[in-house]
Amino acid sequence: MPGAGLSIFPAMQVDPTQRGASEAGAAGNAIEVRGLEKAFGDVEAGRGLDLVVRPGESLGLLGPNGAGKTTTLRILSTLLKADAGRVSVLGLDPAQDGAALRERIGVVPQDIALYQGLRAEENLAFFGELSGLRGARLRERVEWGLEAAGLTERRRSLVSEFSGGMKRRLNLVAALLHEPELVFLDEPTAGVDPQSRNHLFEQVEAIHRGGTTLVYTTHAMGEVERLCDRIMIMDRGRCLAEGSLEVLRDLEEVRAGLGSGLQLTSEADLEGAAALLREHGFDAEVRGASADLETIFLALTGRALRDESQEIPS
Amino acid sequence: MIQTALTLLRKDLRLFVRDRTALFFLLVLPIGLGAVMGTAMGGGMMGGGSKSRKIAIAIEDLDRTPQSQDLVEAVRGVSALRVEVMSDVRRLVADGDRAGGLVIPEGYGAALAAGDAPPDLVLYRDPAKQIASQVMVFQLSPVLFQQTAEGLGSRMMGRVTDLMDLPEASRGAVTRELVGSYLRVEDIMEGVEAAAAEAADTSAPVAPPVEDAGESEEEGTDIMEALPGLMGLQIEDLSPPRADGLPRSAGASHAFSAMAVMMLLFNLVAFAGTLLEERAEGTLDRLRLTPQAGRAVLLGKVMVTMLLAIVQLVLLFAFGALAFKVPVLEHLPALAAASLIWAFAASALGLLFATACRTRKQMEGLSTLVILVMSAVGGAWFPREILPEWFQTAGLVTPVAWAMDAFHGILWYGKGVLSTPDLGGVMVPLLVLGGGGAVMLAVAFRLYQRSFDSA
Repeated sequence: MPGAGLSIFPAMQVDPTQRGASEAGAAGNAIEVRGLEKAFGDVEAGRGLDLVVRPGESLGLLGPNGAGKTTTLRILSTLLKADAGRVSVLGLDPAQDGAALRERIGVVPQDIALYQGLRAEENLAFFGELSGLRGARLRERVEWGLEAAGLTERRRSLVSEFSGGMKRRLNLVAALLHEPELVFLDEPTAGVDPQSRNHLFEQVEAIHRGGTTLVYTTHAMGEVERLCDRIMIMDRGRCLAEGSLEVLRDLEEVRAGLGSGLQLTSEADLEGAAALLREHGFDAEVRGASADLETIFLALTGRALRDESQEIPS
Repeated sequence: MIQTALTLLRKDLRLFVRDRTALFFLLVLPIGLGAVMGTAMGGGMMGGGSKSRKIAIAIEDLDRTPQSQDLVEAVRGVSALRVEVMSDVRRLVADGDRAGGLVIPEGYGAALAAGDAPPDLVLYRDPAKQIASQVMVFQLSPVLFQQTAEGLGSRMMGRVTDLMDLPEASRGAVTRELVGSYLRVEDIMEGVEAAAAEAADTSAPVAPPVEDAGESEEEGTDIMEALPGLMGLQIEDLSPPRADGLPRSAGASHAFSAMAVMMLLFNLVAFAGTLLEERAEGTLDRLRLTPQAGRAVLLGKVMVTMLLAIVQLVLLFAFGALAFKVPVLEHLPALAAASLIWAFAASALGLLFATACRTRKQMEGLSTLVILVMSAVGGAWFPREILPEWFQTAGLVTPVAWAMDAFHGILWYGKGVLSTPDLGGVMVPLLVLGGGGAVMLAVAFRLYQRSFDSA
């Protein structure tokens, strides 16, 4: 099965020009990437990647280790330059208009990028100030951040004293202080307890409801199912498939990946099949089943373990 | 239990041999420093280093006669001395540019030619450079003894009886006794020669601080100290006067200069390493993602390292002034300028390390070796003038040597920034430090742009 996932790339790729037709042209896209190439020595993190994200949309970016997710986010958020291809984020070129773009985007990094020796409110005030906030506006946003992170009571505690979940919550809101139009979230819930994860989801859902465009990478399929309007699965620097969960479930390769079975098209057929089996003496219980995102992911990217040494440098 | 302990031992050994920094500190650093120290102290690789270790002595020949030229040539023939014929040697020594300077006065040649006692030679010494100046006297004594051997007996006896302030009636008896002892002087001189040779070949022990000299010395040393005078050599130690009248301490001045230089480097390099920590922890990327940060990140590091350096220097010198009477207030503007410029240069060096290395561990290993070597050859551990000549030259490549010149120049020699008619200034070391700091900072910015900030 692993080989099958790789062999279908060209056929699976969505034609960006077709996609663009339904997106009212390139000018209206929050993100538009064409033919992105990026290599680190022999490791190719971007191999002609195309990507479009519409304003207000929530895109889930999935892929195994070394797929190029983080590299793609770093290029889109001005931290890396692409080797080739055209990249437009909020109408700006990240490589040329970095400072202007950074005022409009927020990035929640995979690492807990906070100063452990500073208090919660000091961290927020520091990053808020560097994001251009001053005076009363800065104080207001710091208060918002503490409340959104559920840390108002612990505002004067050092970050080093926080649990993993508390740090993750603070890590999230620190990227949202300047109310960015577009937020990149790179595995923002890694290693947190269910309560904190739910809190984080609620915050992310709230900003998404407010119209903020999201690009969300994670290995937790359930998070993408809950949060994202559209999903893109990538591997080895290329897009394998993209669309809504329903669209992905319907891919031939995914259905084939479910193994041998009887495909029925309606609930009535399902009941009929159960009755037939019982008539022939089988103690049968028949339930409808559909592929979850993890099944889809494995069907597309394969089950072979990935060589960690090939991970792309950040 | 033993089996468990052995299992733990195997685990720790495995971890240790895979830790390159730990291996570096265990194996490379001691050997590297041992090689540097051994060479610096005259051992040299394969035991051949002592030949290159010469003490520079400046000679000013005011007499310019064949006899004075003979003396210069005789001194030139001393293997442990490197003779430089110069003018105004008193100022050179007072400035700290030479450890000692010998002046041959006018009339020296004429007196010798006439069979009279020549006027005394004058040896100016820098008390801050005790080892060099002591070796100098040891090395000069045989030469002077030989040069002034003729008529030495009568002159020596006359001087001794003068020194003893004997009544006229007793002088004859004393002189006879002393003449009887004259032959023993030759034995003493043989001892002096042997001591001089030993001093040239081995590391001389560090003498007690200048202000303590004489207090703790044994009685026998007085004879040795009187000996040059008996041979017509006046020794004048140019201890710089202090405005407040207190005695200067070369040891304290050197110690606080060395601490200001070496410890600042260690601290600032360690602090600059937070840049690597921030990169590893992800906060550097977060800073880069803020619209306002950009290259201000590195500028901010420069400013904070400079600020910490200044705080450290202020505390250090305040303590030195209170506890050791280091003359901090004597040339406060010069000391402030030197502190500021050294803080800048040291910060730049720290950031150069931080931007040139990929990890904090790598930086710690490299910077420890470089700082220790720079401190050794730059004169923070021991005076540069006792090092081999090529070592002294190599030391000038390091900021440590220039910083030591600046701080020691201010604290010991009492120099200001600008030269005066009597004394040089520390302008040159400060300019070199400032220029070097600017170059290092420019390289650090370039490396930061390439390795940290490049998209």
